[in-house]
Parts: sequence; C-alpha cells; structure tokens
Amino acid sequence: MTDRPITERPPRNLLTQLLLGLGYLTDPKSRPGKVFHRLETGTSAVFERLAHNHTFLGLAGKGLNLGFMVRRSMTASAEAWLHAWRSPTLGDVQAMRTQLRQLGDRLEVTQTQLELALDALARVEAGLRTTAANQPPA
Amino acid sequence: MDPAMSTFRSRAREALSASLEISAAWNRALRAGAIAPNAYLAPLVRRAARVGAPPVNSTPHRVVYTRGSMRLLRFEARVPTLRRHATPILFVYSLINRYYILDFLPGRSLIEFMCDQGYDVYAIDWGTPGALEEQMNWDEFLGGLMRSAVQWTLKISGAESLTMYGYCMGGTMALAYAALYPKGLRNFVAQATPVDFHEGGIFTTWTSPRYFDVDAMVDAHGNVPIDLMEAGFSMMAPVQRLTKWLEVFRRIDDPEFVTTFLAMECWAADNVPFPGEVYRQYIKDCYQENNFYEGRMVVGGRKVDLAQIRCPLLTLIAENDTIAPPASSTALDAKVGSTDKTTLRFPVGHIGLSTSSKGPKQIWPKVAGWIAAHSEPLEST
Repeated sequence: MTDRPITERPPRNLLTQLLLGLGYLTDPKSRPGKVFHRLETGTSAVFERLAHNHTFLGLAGKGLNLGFMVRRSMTASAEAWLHAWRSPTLGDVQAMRTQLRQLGDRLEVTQTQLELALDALARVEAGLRTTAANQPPA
Repeated sequence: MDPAMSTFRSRAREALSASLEISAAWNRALRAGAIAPNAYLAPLVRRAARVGAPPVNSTPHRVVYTRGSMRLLRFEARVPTLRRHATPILFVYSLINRYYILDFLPGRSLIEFMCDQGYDVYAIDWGTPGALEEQMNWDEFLGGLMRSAVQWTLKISGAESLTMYGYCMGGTMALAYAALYPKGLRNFVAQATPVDFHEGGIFTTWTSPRYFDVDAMVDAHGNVPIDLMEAGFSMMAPVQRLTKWLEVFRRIDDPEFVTTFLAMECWAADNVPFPGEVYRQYIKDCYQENNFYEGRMVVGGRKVDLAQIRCPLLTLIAENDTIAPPASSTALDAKVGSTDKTTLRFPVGHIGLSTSSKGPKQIWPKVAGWIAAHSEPLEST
C-alpha cells in the first residue's frame, strides 16, 4: 500500500516535524489543543445550527437563485445577440448534439436487434443440423 | 567531505525538491480553481509521510462496453480464482463521485473481495458527464445505458440472470430499473440506498422547494457543476472538513493510516458534474415530492412501481449513515413485491460499508454468503 515497508523509519524531515508540531498544537490531549478543541466544537455547533436555520437557508437559497438567474439571463442575451448575427450558438450545438445522441441510440437498438436475430438464426441452423444428422441416410 | 556538511547538503537538496514539488502541485490546484483541501494538503502530507499516491481502483479490469461517457468494466481477481458462481454481479454506483469507492484499496476493496469469492464482477462507470449527457433523462439512463449494461453483462458472462448491486443514489436508480425492467434480474442488493426521501436527513431540508429552485439551477448550468456539488458536501461538516487533516498530521509516522486517509480524500475530491436533466427529476421526484417512494415517479411514460420487484432482496443498512439514513433505506422492505427479503445492519457510516476495515472481516463475507445462496452455481450450467 505504501512506497516502503512499514517497519522502516527514515529520519523525519523538516516538513514532517512541522506537521507533527501543528498536530500537537491541535491535539485534544495537549494543553493548546484543548483550547483549539473547544473552539472547533463551538464553531461546529454554530454551523450545525445554521444548516437547519430557516432564515439562513432562505437567504442562502435566494442568493443562489439570484446567481442562477443572472447566469441564465447572460446566456440568453449572448444567444440572442449571436442569433441576430445569424451565428450558431451553444444552444444550437447542444440541440445538434442531442440529435446525434438519439441517432446513436437508434443505431444501438438496431445493433442489438440484429444480434438477437443472428442468435435466433444460429439456433435454427443448429437445430436443422441436428435433425439432418439424426435422419437415416436415404 | 565532512559528514555534517554532507548531511546538511542532502537535507537542503531534499528541502528544495520538496518545496518545488509542493509548489508545482499548488500551482496546478490554483489554476484548476480547486476548492477541496485535498488539492493543497495532500502533496504536503505525501511528502512528509513519504508515501506515494494511494493505489485506489487497482483491481485488474478491462472495459467491455462503452456508450457515451459510460463504461462497463469487468474485473478479475488479482490471484487467478476459480469462478464458482454462474450468476454475475453488476455494481451500479451513484452519479455523484466515482464508482471506485467500491474498489478502494487492495485488501479493502468490495469488488476485489467479490472477485476472490469466485464471482464474475462487473461495474458501471458513468465516467465524467459532459454536454452529451446534459439533456439525457432518467428514461435514457435506465432504458438506454443501464439496460445495455445488463444485456452486455449477461452476454459476456454467459448467464441468464444477474445480481444487481446498487449503492447510494446508484441503488435508487437500480431500483427504478428493476421495477421497470425486471427481466434478467435474479437478485437485488441495495446498499445504503435512500428510498423514503422524506427520511432523507439534511439533504431533504436543503433541497426543499422553499429554499432551492432546481429548475433555476439546471436551466442556468445544464449539468450541475463540480464546485456546487463540492460546496454542498462541504456544508455538511465544514469545520471537520479541515480539522480532520490535523489527525493525519499527528499520525504522519503511520504510513498505512496516511495512505488510507489520502485514498479517501482522493476519492472524495474526485467529483464529477451531475447530468442536469437527471438531477432535475431526481430532486423533484425523490427529495421534494417523494414520488419515487410513493410510486408516482414516471420514467419514459411508465410509473416506477417498486412492487414490481419480485426477486430476492438484500438491504444493507449503515447505522451511522447521514446521507441515506437507516429510516430512509429500511422503508424499501414494505414497498417491494419480493417475498425473500433480508436486511443486514452494520455499525458503520455511509462510506464505511465499502471502505471500513470491518468490511473484509465482518460485512462482506455476510453479503457474499447471501449472494452465493441466491446465485446459480457454475457447475449446474
């Protein structure tokens, strides 16, 4: 799972020592870590309350919807402008893409049906061979 | 040369190479506009712990069918294992994140475990949805992509029926598929699958039409962008999302712990856009109106009636699941038409069912045992 055997312990580099130091400072068992832990618990509780708060969720939702509306209006104006210049737009390309995908799907269905027909023919052929083999020679 | 000077030189060289490597990684992350802490902290931790990239998704596999971004994968045991069951397993994963959480790390991979038990294992990888998938709806996903995946699985394995194994939202999709196209399904395993969406926990609150206009989002963006998905998941535990890294700093000398942690973060940060039209119907019919559970969801002009599922059913519940809370998953039993129903509960979280160290010892043997009892042995074919 790792680059080296687990038993091997190379000397710690500066970065390792730095991260270990950070880990110690925030360890709930260490003195500074206890303070950090209280801070973490408090902040988590605030976010937990926010995640269920109707006012916050309402505001966040309104903000999001406003962003979506702005984006949609910008896209619509860009498309209208391009259409005025008789240029193909992203919407036109997407419509073409959808048609191509549907064509691909139809080909897929035809392929499956052909395969099923071939399987059925192979079964009929095998059946005919067996019948011919079982018939006594004339 | 003076040994002290030599040590100093080698340490300086190492520090220089580390700083170059880390700054290059940060530069890439900044350019990509990454907001996941993994993009910035993983290079630091990897360097400090001297571990390589986590070997996720390493069970040997090959692509046996593709359509659009979707790929059907067939897995093989690392050590050649005699196939013991004629009935293949088809894993159907969610459209959120990537399927390889089911093939997590060597020794902790559900797919690898099933291969080793002698199953012919397949999985649908939805790939990275792009513009082609934007307009695709549930009907095209179920009746098109999934139906093809089932047909190809049966064709390649030479079996007449398979075990469909759905996980999370993939389980919801697979249930809808099983209700609409029951032919070819021998068994169904629903792992941490939300069914009654009014019991869907925090996501039910957040996606309520009072706060969230899904039409506005899909009309504005098409596919749901990675950043928005990422922001949503971050809001579930914003503080722990950062502070969990401090635990890795403390255990930086434990390469196994670091590798497992990095593997999980690597997967969690590997988000993909969610196909827009599928998302629109998912949010409306599942979270907002609970039509999926109530039998009112319509796909391709047909109602999704879970009572049409009559094959043996195994429901796997993670007792500490906050994404698909147990109450949401257990509701499935009362809705299906199956008479052979089993529910197994495990004291893990949503992801733990696929990645926990309890997996290979306590969880998966029971699941494999149930599937074996309901599969056709190879000898009889």
